[in-house]
Amino acid sequence: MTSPLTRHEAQAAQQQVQPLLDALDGIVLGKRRVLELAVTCLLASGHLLIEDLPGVGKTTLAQALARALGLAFRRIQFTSDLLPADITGSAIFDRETQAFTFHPGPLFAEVLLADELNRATPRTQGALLEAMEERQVTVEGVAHALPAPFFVIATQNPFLQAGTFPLPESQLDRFLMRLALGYPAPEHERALLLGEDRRSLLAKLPPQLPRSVLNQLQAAVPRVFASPALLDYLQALVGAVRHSMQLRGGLSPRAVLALLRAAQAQALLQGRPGVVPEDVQAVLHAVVEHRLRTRDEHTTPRRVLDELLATVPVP
Amino acid sequence: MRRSRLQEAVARWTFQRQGPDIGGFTLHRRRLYILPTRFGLAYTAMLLLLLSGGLNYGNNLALAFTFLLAAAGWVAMLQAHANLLGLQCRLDSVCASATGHVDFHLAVSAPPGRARVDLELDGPPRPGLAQPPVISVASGQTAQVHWQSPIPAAHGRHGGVRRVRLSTRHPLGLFTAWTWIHPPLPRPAPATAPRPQSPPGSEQDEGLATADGEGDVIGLRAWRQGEPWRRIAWRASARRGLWVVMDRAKLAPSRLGAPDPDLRTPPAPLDPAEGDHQALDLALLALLAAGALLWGRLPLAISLGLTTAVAWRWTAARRGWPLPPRLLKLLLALTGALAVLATFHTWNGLAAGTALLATMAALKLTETRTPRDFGVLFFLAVFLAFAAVLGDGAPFTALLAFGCLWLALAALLARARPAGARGEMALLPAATRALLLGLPVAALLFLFVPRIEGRFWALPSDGHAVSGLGDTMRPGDISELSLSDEPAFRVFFSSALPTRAQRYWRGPVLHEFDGATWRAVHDVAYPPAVILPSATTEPGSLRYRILLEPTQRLFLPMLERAMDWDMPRARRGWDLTVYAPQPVTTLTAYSVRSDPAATIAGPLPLTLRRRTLQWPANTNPRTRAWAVALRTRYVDDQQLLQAVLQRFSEPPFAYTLTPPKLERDAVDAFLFDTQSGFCGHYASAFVALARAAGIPARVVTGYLGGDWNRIGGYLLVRQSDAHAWAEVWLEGRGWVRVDPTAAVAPERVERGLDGALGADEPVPGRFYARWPWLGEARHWTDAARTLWQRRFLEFDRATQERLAAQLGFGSAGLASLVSALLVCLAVTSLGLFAWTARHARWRWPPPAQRQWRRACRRAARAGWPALPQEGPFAYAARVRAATADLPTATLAAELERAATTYVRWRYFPTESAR
Repeated sequence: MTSPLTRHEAQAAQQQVQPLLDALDGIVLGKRRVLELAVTCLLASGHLLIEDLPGVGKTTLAQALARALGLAFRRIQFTSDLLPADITGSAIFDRETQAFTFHPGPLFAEVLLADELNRATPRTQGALLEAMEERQVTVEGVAHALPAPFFVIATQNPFLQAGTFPLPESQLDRFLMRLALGYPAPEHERALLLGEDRRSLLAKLPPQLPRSVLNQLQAAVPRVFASPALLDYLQALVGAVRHSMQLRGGLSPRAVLALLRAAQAQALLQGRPGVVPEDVQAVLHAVVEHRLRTRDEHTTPRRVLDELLATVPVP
Repeated sequence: MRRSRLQEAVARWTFQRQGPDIGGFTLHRRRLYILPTRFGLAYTAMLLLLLSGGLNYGNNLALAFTFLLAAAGWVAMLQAHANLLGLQCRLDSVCASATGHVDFHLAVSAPPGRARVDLELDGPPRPGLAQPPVISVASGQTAQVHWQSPIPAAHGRHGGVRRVRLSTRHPLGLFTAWTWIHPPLPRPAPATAPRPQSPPGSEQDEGLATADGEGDVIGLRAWRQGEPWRRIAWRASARRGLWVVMDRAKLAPSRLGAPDPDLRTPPAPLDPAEGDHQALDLALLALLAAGALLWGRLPLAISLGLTTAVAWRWTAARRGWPLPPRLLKLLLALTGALAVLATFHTWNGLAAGTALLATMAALKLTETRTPRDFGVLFFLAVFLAFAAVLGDGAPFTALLAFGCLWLALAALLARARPAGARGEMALLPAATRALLLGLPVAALLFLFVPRIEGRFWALPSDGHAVSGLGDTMRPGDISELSLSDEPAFRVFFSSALPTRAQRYWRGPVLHEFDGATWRAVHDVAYPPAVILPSATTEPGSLRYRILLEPTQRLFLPMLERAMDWDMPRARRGWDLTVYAPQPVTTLTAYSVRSDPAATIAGPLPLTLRRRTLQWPANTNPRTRAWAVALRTRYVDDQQLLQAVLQRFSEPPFAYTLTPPKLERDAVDAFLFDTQSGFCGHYASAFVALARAAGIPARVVTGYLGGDWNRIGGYLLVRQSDAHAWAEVWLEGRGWVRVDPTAAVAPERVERGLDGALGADEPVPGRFYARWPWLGEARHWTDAARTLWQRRFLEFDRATQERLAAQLGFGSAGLASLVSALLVCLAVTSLGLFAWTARHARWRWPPPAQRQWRRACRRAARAGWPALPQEGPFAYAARVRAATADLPTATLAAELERAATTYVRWRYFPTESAR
């Protein structure tokens, strides 16, 4: 077991992440909270699912993240005719060497934007999701490791749009967080209208966080201390969710682990050496909501979660 | 119905008070509840009964017995509380994902250094538990219980377990201390939630499929005729080969609170042959001890019957013999009750009541089966021991009675063990501990519970014969009494010890003569005599305190011419003897001042003169003739009497303990035929002669002399010192004591019986005179016994008030006693509480937590209470935002400071440790 994080380390981490957040804030206006969660997700080495209408800035966010981190960025536009090999790459026979050589697909990136994930067939989705979980791609029986920071930002159109294959619950579970960007506030929209083109801004964006620092921060997340009292609280919350009669199914242990990891990352982002209940509450909706279904059509997981939060006192 | 509503209200209240239990928690004072059990209430009622008995009789030993029991109960209460205090619990509930049933996991751990405790678990359904619902937690260990809810959680009742009760009745079963644990579950939703599909194959799914809203399926049972067919569980019936139906619990859909009665653990039926030999054995031993205490005071048949019943019950438990049938028991009970009635002619009174109780105890043994019966045995043993103590205050009785109490408490300990706890417990040491811990409380109660003067009810005097002076005397009676070595009373002189010849202890005065027997007169009241104190009061007065053994009679022996005494409502009768308001049934103490030189004033009332000259017609003609002859010879009364005494002092008149038997005309026979007798003969003959000669005279019985106990510094008067003498009325001098024995045997007066009688007479105590060291040892034992009586049994209201005044509680009588009692009791209880709860490891909360709570309270008072789900930082931020425009910014600042410290203590302990 590694030693717990010290206060100074935590504060240093916060200092290091701050410029990244500021830079992102300059691109995606007025979404500080969402940006923080996205960075939290990144620090927690999780994958991000953004579900929103087209044109609210999903791609911009993903690109901004990639540029600000100075990472290799790829984008896959998912369509219904996309095949697994199109994203993983395939082994092609080389005349010169008289052997099959592997040609990596677009999956081999550090930041991958999987646009409109739910337009692809379940088979293709499955290929991506396996890669996300295993962090490797197996083609023709040979495993190919993916690059070290591997961060998938998938976007998804809301359901009920024509030609979508909704992601099954088991696969949604693999995303650490699901976020929604939403429309900008009027003043931010005005700034957007008046300001420079986002694309040129993006091009000018210098890397804010060296890759080594990112790795270091990601390694620091599990060292953020979770006290017994906090774990009690976490478990109580999870128990409340599992026993809620308004929800169908509960949270898997993977979800609980994800919740803890996200809370730790959030605490690190706030410069705290340990997790406090506020951190759990801050990430709860983003981490848990997409894994839950309500029994009742007239309510949403968000509303149910809010009610449950009110019933579980903080220790 | 009302009960369940009350339970529901209580459940709601406790839930609001405690909130759901998240994760691990320590059982602290605020979440422990304690109430007396039904048995505890009976115990209290018994204590009140014993207390009123003890106070009524003014019997300190009985009171001490009562107080010790009370103190044991008090300690049991503190211990029951301390059993739970400081235990660490953790209740986790996990929804078994497949079925929707909830898995509960309860872990209870005890900090090191605590005694093992058995806790009863209430709430989870019994069938769901893998083991019996008793959790044994030993020091430094953790006990765990798992169970599964009988109903899927989605059924709206959280799997049927809304809360769990951990309780203990240890040590004595008088109090139940418990805590409620609420699994961390949200409030139930409206009962519209659809039922989930159960896994195929489980027997419950059929019930769910045919759900008709009656309640949840809790099991299967045989189909009864007349039930609708649609209830039949077809698949289960096919599997079993007989019609079975679903058994449904009648459930309210969303009831908060009490576990369903159907799901509660049923009281475990107890088989005495299995695990509770110990409880039975100890109860039997206690009964045996009580029987031993009463040995000799109960009719022999009852004592033997009790012993036999105990032996039979013991063997029956070992051999597995069946208990007798109901009819036989009824017959035995009737026979016993009638036998007691036949013996005592009443069921009332101490002796008859005790006998009845002992009989019933013996009969109760034929039907002891359940713990409840053991409780009755406990009560019986205690009552019997108490009755024994009431009747006899000897140190040995006290010792045996406390032994009986000890055994009875051990029996209670065995009885109070949870049915599932099979582990051996050192019962007798535990009982010793209970008694020892209770000792300070008992001592305080003994010292300060105000004694009452007099009695609030009088029990009829029992038929128990006590040797001693009575209301009648035949000439031979006193000599029989003289054979008894029993102590009559003890006297502590604060003035100089009078000589032996002056120590005439006055007892009953006998007026009525029928020719042979003398009788006291109670039905007629004569004018009281007036006593004139002598001029030289101080030097001549004798001051002394008497410790009187029970006599069952009214008279209080005192030296002659008693002037005043400190016993309330005791009065001097017209015959100059002092009488108590009630028969002396317990050890009684009183102080007296006597003035031997005091004289009787005034003439003899005519009615009394007639009475004291009474002579039965046609009896003792020879005596009468002699008296007439003497009268003609002597004109002066004094000379006449002197002549009689002169005659007595010459042979053939002799003094002996073994005189010949006398028939009719006893005085004639004595004076002219046998001429040898004891004091009774001489007094009788002398008074008869005086009356025949026209001198008012009467027989006075009492005691003469007494042994000086050098070690204790008191005078011991035994029954063998009983004496009879004459009192004559001489004009101008009033009543004058004349002891004819002094004429015939002056040594009797000067040196006591031993000196007056020949070597062949059966004088009691002569044996001791032969071996001085034996006599010395006897003095020692008697002195010890007397010291016990004086210090302990004679501890009265006045002593109590003196003690309270010395301790600084003022001398306001009852008020100061009560305040002394309350103050000392509070202090001792605190000490006891600290002692019993010493392993609870309760610690002052750390400063960070205290500071945080204080800040939260301040903020709440200012109008911004914390929400339960709010983290410290969030709360501080909210208050900061709310008070940003207000001048009370310090509030938010304090809260923020406190939150930082608190969070660091609570959530980053690694950080603050560094």
